[in-house]
Amino acid sequence: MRDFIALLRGSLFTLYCRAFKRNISIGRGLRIYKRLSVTGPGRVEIGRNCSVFGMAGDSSQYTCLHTIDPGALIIIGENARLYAARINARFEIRIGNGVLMEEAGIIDTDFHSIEKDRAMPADEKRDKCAVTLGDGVSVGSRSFIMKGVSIGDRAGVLPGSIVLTDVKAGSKVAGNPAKALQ
Amino acid sequence: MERLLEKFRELGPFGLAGMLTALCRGLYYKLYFAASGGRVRIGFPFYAYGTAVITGPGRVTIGKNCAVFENVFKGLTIQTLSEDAIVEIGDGCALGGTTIRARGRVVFGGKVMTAVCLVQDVSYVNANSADEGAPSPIVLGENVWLGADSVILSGTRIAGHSVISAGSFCMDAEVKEYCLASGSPIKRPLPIEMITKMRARA
Repeated sequence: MRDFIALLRGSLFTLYCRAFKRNISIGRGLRIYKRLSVTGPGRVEIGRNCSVFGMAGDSSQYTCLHTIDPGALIIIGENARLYAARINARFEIRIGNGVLMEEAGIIDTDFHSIEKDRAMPADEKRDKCAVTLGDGVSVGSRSFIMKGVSIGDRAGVLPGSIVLTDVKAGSKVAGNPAKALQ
Repeated sequence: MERLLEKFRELGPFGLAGMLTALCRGLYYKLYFAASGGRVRIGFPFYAYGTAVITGPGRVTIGKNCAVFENVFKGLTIQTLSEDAIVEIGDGCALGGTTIRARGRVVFGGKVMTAVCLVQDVSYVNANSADEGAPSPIVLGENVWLGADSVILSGTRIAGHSVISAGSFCMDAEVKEYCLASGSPIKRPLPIEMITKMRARA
């Protein structure tokens, strides 16, 4: 029953996007178990058979995909599972197939500055700030992936880690800044 | 009796009202979880100043005199992921904004004090359980203090009267009695006595 309602919600959202929000393209079989909010002027592409959940026991958090620039791009692959993930793009965020994200965040800019003239940093370049997640990556809860990071296939980011540097394929990282575990 | 009156005087009328509301809320939680299956057991004076959310099929035991506070909009969240999961919280704990997610065993001793922290004995809550082996238990001794934004993962053993500082990350870590552990991941827990001596010298 829950699956059916989620599928219905997903298809309704897909229809809504096709009619009114042309910058969002969604593949077949999207399931929305908990609120999905897609905002901003940039382009968002979601692959086939993705599902969007909330964390159990935490009603306040939901999945947000936000683009803060018309040239921004968020691409999510097939079979992704997003549990209250927060993704914020100014340039480009590419997420592979079969990704698991729990209560974590991805951001590819430092635009949260206190001073007003630094609110949109001018020295940020698209090729340096783009974030890439490979296939089958799992991201634990309360972790954060910062700008310019690329994470290899099947890598794991343990809960509570802040990822500032690239992660090799198949490795596990933890801590702040995140380092590979032995 | 005199002590009780003194405490009431300290609290003042508004504090007293807040305490009574928390007590009533705690009683409601106790009765609600007792009525819904009995897998969750809460000791009697349970002061719920914030919300307590307990979900999942596992067993949860909360001791007497525990209190839940609203810390950064979050109260206590306990999620058990399997039927074998056991969460035991001792007497007199002050839990503010704690999130506990357990597939195995999580034990808190008495008088544990926590800020907004995550205690989780699996790396990924919603991943297939077959990928990881059986999670090793998390054991916290008596009078442990967990700092804000700390993350405690599987295999962590913290002995009594220790402090985990804010923003630290523990996995398979072992902290002895009367120690201060900090860092992400934590490095070389130092005895608190030594730190105070160093402070005095400086």
